[in-house]
Amino acid sequence: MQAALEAIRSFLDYGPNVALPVIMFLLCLVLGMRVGKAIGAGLMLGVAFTGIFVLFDFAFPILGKAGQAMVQRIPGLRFEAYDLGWTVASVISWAWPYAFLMFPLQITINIVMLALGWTKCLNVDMWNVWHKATLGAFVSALVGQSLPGLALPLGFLVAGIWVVLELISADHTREQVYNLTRIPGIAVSHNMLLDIMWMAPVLDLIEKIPGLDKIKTSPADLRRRIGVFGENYVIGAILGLIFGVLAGYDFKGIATLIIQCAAIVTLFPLLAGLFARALAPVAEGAQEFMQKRFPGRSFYIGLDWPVLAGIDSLWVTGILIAPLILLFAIILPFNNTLPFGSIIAVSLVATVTVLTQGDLVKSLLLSIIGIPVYLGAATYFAPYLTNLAVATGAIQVPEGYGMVTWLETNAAGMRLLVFSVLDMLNGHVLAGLIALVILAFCVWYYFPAMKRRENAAAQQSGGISGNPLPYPEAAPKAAKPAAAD
Amino acid sequence: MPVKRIIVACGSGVATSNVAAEKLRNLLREQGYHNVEVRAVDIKSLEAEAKVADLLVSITPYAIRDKELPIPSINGIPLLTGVGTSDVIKQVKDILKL
Repeated sequence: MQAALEAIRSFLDYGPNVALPVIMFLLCLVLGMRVGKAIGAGLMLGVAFTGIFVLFDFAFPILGKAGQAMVQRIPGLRFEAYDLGWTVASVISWAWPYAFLMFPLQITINIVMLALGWTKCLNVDMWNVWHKATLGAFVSALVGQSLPGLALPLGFLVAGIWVVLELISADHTREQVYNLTRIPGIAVSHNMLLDIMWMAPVLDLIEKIPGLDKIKTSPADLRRRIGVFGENYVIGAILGLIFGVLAGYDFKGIATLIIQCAAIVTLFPLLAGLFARALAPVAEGAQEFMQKRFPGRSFYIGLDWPVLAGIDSLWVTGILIAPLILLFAIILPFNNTLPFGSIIAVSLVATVTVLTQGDLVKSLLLSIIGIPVYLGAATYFAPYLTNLAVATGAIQVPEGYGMVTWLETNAAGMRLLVFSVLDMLNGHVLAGLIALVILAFCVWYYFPAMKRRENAAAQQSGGISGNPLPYPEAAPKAAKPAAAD
Repeated sequence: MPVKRIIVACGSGVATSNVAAEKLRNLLREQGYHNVEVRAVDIKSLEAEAKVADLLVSITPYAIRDKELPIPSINGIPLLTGVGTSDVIKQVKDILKL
């Protein structure tokens, strides 16, 4: 037994690009896949991991050098962490030894909640399981020093709570999603939408500004004008130019940085796409497993956020706030993250788009309020992500360049609140209590606010199942007779 | 016969589009259609990608932009939900004349 454990441990030490393909291969066999296909899926995972390694080794020093040069030239600037986008964060998360256990955790909780009638959402989005791995790993790290015995159970507990919250969030945003997409039978079960819990009261305040509804915008037209400036390589090139100038590089240096940044921003998604292909058989197996358990039941399917990606105001908001993210990153004293890979902060703007129902002006205002929260989260979680990368050997973070992070921490506000509350276990009681009060307020505010907004959305769309008043108890008094017809 | 090119777009060209593309690839292969290439692309580059493709399988079927493209588009949501995939295959066959 001892020898077997020792063998497994030394095998894991080979690094995730060798160990994970084998785990993947075994997982595929368990799911009943043919040996040939299982080998293919395992190899593809190794290829994807290695590809990300190579690109990271190329990208990190380039950004690190530019960031350090900026810090030295501009007084008050403090960049210690570099945003390499969510793709890198997801790869690091998969290298956490318990990451794959998040599949059964999510599936079990979902099935139990469906059986008990606590949700109507069957979440088949198996890709975003990595968010739960991140949470589990980070929570374990947070409480690991003061309560080592509780680290792992608490990690799984918080990940489990997250799964529950995602399903509840999908339940309470489905009419709003339907009004935007008109796709029947679906909901968005992505955890980014949890930030609606703190955004709902903020938007209610914004909507008190007089005259806001009278501003007419045409997001579709704006998006057409943005054109090629919305493409990854162009955004990367622009950032390269800005960074080069701020860092005081000479002409050759700036020209080189432009091309390098354009290449990095373009290549990370391509390589992460290989990751998705490798994980596709597992995702599909898990999806079929779940759908077999609930044939013919009335539920709707929980999907990843890109079903929203056809909404013009989402992209227009993302591109318009990108310069503000950079500006805020420079002037906000608590921030030490250099925005790069997720400068188009989809998890922020997609969430905002759902809540504002695609209203560009409100989306812009709410997103601007969200920027400091997202920068704060990127800064807060940078040591966690970097330590996880170093501990698992997922990515070699070169010494002296700082930390790796990602700006698109989904549900950034909720994560910060939850981690502040958990930090009470480490003796940080006051901040934890404040966070607890805010969290309690957000949850208390959430349900009536969502019922009101779900009703409003259903009245515009006619309702997913033809019912324009899904929450009769939350309807305004005057609307009641109309609903009785 | 030249290879027919299908694109599936999502917000980043990483996750959702690859999941849907892999499913479509497998379904087409199971039915014996090998002369079709399915690629996952980034929705931000859709105009450029559409120039070298024959069909868009869209997961944002409500988007007006999809209809402005020079190629036909069909609703690909069933590939994600698993409900009604045979309709998607039938539409692909009809449009690409497989």
